[in-house]
Amino acid sequence: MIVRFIGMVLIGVACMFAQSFNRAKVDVRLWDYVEQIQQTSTSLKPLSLFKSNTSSALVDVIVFSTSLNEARSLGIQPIATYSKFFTAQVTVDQLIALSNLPSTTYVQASKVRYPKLDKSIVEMKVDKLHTGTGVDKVYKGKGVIVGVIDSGIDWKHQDFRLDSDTTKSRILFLYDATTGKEFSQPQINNELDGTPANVVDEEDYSGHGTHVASIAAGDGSTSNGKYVGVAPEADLIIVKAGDEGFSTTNIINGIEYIRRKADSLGKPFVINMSLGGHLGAHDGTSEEELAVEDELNNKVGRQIVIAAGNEGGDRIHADGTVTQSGTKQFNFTIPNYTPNSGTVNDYVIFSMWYKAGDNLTVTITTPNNTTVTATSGQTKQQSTTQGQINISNAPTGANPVNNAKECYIEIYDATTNVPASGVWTLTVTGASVSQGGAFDIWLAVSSMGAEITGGATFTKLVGMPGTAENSITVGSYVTKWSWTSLAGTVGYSGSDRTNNFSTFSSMGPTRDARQKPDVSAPGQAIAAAMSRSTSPSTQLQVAPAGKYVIEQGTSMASPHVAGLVALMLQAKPTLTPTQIRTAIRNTARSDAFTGTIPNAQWGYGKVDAQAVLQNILSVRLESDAIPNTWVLRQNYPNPFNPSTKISFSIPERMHVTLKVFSVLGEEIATLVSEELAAGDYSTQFNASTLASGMYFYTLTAGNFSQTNKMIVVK
Amino acid sequence: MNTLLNTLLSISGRALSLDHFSFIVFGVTIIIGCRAEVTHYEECGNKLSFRVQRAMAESDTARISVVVTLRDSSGIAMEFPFLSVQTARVALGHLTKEEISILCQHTNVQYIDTPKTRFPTQ
Repeated sequence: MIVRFIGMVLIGVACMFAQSFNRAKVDVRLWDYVEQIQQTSTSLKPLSLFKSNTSSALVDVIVFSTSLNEARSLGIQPIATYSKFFTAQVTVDQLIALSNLPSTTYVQASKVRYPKLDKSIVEMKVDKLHTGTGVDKVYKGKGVIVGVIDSGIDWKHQDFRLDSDTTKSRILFLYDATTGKEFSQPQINNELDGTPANVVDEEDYSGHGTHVASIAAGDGSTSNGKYVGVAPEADLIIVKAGDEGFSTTNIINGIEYIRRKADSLGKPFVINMSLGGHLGAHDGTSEEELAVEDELNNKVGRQIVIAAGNEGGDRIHADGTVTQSGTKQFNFTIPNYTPNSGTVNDYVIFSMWYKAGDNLTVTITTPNNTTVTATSGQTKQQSTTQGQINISNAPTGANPVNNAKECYIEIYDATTNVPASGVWTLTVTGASVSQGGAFDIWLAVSSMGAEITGGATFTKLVGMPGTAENSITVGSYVTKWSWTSLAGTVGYSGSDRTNNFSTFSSMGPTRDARQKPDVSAPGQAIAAAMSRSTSPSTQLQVAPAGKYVIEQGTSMASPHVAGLVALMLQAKPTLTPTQIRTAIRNTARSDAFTGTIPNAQWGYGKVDAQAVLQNILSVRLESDAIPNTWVLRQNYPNPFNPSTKISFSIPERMHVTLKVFSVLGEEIATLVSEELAAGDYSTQFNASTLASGMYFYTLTAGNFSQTNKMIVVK
Repeated sequence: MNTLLNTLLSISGRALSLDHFSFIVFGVTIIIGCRAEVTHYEECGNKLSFRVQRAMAESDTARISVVVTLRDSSGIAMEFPFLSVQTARVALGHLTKEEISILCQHTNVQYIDTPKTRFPTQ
């Protein structure tokens, strides 16, 4: 009996193999794999890049199907299901059977995009700078401080230690602004030397700060360099400003702390702030934005990089214009929710801003039609059965910092009457309009996921301090959307939008119509250092265990750019904040996804680290092949207007100067004055401020000197 | 005030007797005091955010956390040692209601608000 049963099973299996393989429905990358398995040559192991686990017999696939049940009838267990497809791990037999199901539209091989920081590093061409390709030398951030204001750091993580001596940390200072505790590099080193003093008791409970710091400046040593950050040799100053929320006081303290420490060490620095919020004017005048501006204005050797925010697609902003006596109405919805126990912990807060010369009236209407109204200059506080409603409509006039009026609206549970679920209305009326009647409203905070359901825009969503004027604000785009987790499964981050903007990335501009974000960088499904104080799902962890984790957001895009700024400051420690921002903006790439730039979604486009460095360096290394002799080539084009390219070759490392002179021998410009390694170089000369005529350029290095002529024709 | 100042300055240009000198020192002291008051202090007006005003009205706590926007930080730290001046335009403090009431009158103080909370952009 048993023998007969086994025999039937074997026949069944044989029949499955005998079933034809419907190639038309199967990704071509799976064909060879199926056929090689069917022909089973034990010595021949098929290349299976689509397999998340090469030792497993299972294949990762994405099945486009009209019937989940038919797939399940084959014994397939979908992992993630979407409206048109599901993901699964299947055997070859199941794959063949799937290809023959009428309900199967297509079986796609999973494209395992390894969840690498190095994916984004390559995308940004940071790897070129780490190897000194296309630039004069290797750039890894040496001599520059990367300051991170965030949730702290896992200071024990190997990726923040010196590569040459892992008992030494690259963290110069660790300051906890929430407690006032401060730890120095020697104290941290003392914990890492094998006989810990147990003095440094800081932990990163959320893991956010550790992840962010590692993108900017981790050295990837725990992963043999796989997850190397952008500036792996930079020093770090870490400020813990909170765990899940950061007070603007702590943020300001943090900015001042990092600047003071960097100044005392005489080092250039960049600060990363992967944080933001919407309570404020969105015009660069919030308190922490003023602090940012103070630290940047008329300074050199520093920049501050800020995340744009993750409110892309969120219904939290509305704007409009009202005429005298005219009205504009918006609905907002408080969803069904379970109130928190106690009072003053269920809330919705709006921040509305309008011109100082206008007087606008704001009315809140509850779902049961209770109304509370306050016109400019008034404060109204009313307890209703559907929640406490407070409206402070510019009671003391315009804010003197930005000369704009703020209407601040709170709906909360001052008593047991919690904010009621349902549709509410916010009505703006032009009481007296002399400056156009324009206004902006942000649903700044809500504890229960309220949203503006009627009249929301998806613009002006860059948070504060991201609307600061002279800092660099960074949006996010997608460089990968799937990864192989520690659990052995393939994780997905939404649908495949590779190369497109992340749907969560906040769109600009600012309330005062300035361009923000400035640029976009990789921010989706980024693998970077994991804090030992966290325990994320193994679906989000990647090998090696407990050391790296997938996170995403503009929080992850921002440190990519902060790290790049560190590389720029390594090259030119006296760059001004404006020079840094201009170089990053002007060299950003556009493509079919970005469309015409700049725009409110992408800013000036995708950051290109190599182009940035080439832009700020006075010379571009064209080839590092060692030339036989000194050469100063004829400029091209010539004659020219206004710019021309000058190329030269040097056969040995030496200090080189390249200067431009007038026919009278007057020095016009110094194009190069630095030590260069052997190679072929080029530089651009711009004569836009010069009159037409003949000029000379002279290359000098040691005993070598050569002068050529060039002609400006306007 | 200017007239008095001009008079004193013209006296100071002459040969000085002890009486003259005492008068000048005394007078200048008065002027410095008066000028300080005139140039450094004004009505609070709209310098206090309604959040701070509400905190002052409602708070049972002795001190209120504030963020102070400055027109100019010159001399502020000296005059208000309880204030932590962070940058040229921003100072922080954990102040009593009385301290806030005095601080807001200073001409270099532009606005006093409560701190806000920002969140990880993750």
